[in-house]
Amino acid sequence: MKKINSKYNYLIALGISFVIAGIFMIALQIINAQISSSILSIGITMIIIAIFRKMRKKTMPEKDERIKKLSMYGLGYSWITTFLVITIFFWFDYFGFVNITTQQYYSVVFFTMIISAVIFQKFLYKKGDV
Amino acid sequence: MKTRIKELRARYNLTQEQLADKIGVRRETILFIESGKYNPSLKLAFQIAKELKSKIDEIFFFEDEELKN
Repeated sequence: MKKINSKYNYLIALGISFVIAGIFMIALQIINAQISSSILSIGITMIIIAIFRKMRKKTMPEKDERIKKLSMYGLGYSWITTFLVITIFFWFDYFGFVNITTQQYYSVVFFTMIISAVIFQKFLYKKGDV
Repeated sequence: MKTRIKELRARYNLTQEQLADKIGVRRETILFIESGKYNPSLKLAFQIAKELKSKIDEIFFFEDEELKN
């Protein structure tokens, strides 16, 4: 359990350093304001996530063999789903059914990967096993 | 797979949470093993057997029908 807590402490420390760096960058106008505010936001997000996880996982191990196994299967199913979506978009684009830009294509891949992974993992966690 | 974890837990007066803590897994994992929805690894099965002071084949067993499928 100590290992988990120290992991979250590192994450909080990293988040604080991002926040400080972001504030300094905004104050001193070293680089683009958008980049500075993004760094600040990343830092705040890291701190919030670390605190929430630290509170939630206080009494149980973060991962055990079942969670690890189901996470891997979830990622595997997500990979296949993303591959199918990419293939469908490729052929739709090839035959001219849709006309998407590279940026839109990346967005579809990005969101499909994340959303399908989360959905498959949640489904498997509830189911218990594959 | 059938298990006798629930019965042995009751014998040693252990809750699912206490057993999970001793073995270092989540309570849900014990719940799914007990209900036969999750087949533990050999290592975890041995850990459970050790905590419940029993032999592994006294805790986990398959019905003949299950082995055929």
